[in-house]
Amino acid sequence: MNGLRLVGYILLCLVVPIAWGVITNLVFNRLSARAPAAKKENNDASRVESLRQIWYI
Amino acid sequence: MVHIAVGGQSFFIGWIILSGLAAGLGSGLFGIGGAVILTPLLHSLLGLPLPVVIGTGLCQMIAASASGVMRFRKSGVVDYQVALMAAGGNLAGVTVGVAISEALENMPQVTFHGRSAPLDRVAITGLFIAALVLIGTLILLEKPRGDNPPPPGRFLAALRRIPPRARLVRTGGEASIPLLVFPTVLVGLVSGMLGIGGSVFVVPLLIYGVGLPTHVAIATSLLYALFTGVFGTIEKAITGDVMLSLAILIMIGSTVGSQIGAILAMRTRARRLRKAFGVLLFVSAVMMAWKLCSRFV
Repeated sequence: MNGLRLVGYILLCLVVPIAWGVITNLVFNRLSARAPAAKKENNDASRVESLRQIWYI
Repeated sequence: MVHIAVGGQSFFIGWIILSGLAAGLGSGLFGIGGAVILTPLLHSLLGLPLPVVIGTGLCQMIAASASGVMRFRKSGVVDYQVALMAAGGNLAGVTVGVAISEALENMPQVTFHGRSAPLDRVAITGLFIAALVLIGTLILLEKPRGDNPPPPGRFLAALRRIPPRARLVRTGGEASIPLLVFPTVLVGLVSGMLGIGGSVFVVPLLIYGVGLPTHVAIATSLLYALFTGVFGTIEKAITGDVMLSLAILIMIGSTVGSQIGAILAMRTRARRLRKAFGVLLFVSAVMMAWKLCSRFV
């Protein structure tokens, strides 16, 4: 096992998993921050749709 | 009676489906891959060749864990964020573990009864067994507060504060990213070197390390097992150790078994599940010791 490969393996075991964890955490937190807004929009859309149906029926 | 031919021998398919059912039951109940149950049933009891059992076992793990995860999903106890973070650590560990295993090919051999095995594998298997026994003992000796595990000691509490920390969206609270990913890197390293799964370590890690409730830990570990099953199957399929017809038969049983296991898990009190899991760790330790001994006897 040469030196460069060893450094690569150490990085893969120490740095990459932490970076992966941080990125995953950021993505999930961003998505959860957006989710309520999206849900609200959906709810508004469905409410408008149901109101429309009531109006026309 | 309908039989299937494996390695020049024929086996009754009913026994294979039943073995899959038992493995799936364990998978859904404890959030594990199920190899610890499937390997002794198919290899020791029925006599199927070990490489095929291991490769095909990984393949069926995908169906069993996916089925269990779908059931747990209905109860809303799967933490996708934690499972993805842990799976990333495992993948890194497996990659390096396989490379280390190749680099250590010329290690000295341990000879006993005229048969020999590489020293590194014997030492790592010994450490693996010791870890299983230690964690199993700690779980069986814990004094829970109601259904919850005891509060963390000073050392564990300090470990839980190590930055960077993740805000858990689904379960709530925070978790130390290094405390979550480094043990899974270690489990992956051992998996890559020994060619075994390691999901039995993930449930204790999620309960005691991350602080997840027991049912969430089991459901999340099952999703983690799904990811590792996919990685492992790709690797074993390349080496030709996956037998698709056998895998489909096992999957028929394990998919149903995993659903039953997940339903049972949701109906069982967290305290009882943890105790049963402690016993399972001892069973895994005995299995590993038996595998190690069978190399020499």
